[in-house]
Amino acid sequence: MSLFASIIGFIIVKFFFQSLFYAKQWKRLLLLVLATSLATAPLLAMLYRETAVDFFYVYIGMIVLDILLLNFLVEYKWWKAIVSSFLANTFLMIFFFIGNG
Amino acid sequence: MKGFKIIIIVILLSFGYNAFADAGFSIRRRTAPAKMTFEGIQNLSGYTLLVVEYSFEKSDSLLKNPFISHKETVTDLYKIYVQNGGKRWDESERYIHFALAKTDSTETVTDTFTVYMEKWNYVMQVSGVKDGKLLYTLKKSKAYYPFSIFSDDEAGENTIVLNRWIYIICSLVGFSLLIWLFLKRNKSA
Repeated sequence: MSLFASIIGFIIVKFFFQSLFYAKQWKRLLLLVLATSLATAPLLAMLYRETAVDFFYVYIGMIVLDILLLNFLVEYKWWKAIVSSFLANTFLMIFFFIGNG
Repeated sequence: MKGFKIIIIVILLSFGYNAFADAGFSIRRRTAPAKMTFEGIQNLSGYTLLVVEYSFEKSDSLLKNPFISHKETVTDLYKIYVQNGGKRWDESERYIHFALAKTDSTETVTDTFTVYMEKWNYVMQVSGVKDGKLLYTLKKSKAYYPFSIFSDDEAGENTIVLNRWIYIICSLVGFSLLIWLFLKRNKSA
């Protein structure tokens, strides 16, 4: 999967699932989704292609990072952050593995 | 709150740094599959150089056997990769066992030797044979990854091989944006 396609895919998947929880703050959420997608999509591609990193830990790391960022940059509500991060990152991983084989 | 802000920034920075380091960039840059190439094989008149075994073991069990079952003839185009790259890092060590044999009907082995390969590229320059022994020199260089995310073998003819730097810069921009968002949020609070 090309870098461009993976970043666009990350933005769509993340924004779709997290906007279900943060519909009112969609502008701030979009900015956060853009930044996190830009940061994680190329990094995941490199980690997947070139290292033996266990992707379960990468998945957990992404969820934790997302929870913290959503809490402190969008809305301070732990349950919303936990549920939306888990949901978005699970589908993100499915999308990533389908795209990269 | 100030302390917490610092912790978050440190987490963001260390997450990025560690991931990049593991991805083959920076101080802990990963080594590439070690490759061995050959030059001057045409100097072996009356002899052939054979690769007999790839092994984890230093002792060459096959060479002790008078009947060598596995053998590959080395030419100038012959290449050996001890590791296929990707995720199979445990295959980065190999003992390559060579045998020098006469090209007559008996294929008598006159010389055997072993080369240990790990994290180094080798060029074997063969200058000839003396008293049945192979005369050669080994040039070695560190087997680092080139700065491209996909290997040439993996990329098809029509595929653009993207430079790893594009990935790294793109990701760094994302992390910088995250840090900027975090700092901005705390200033306005």
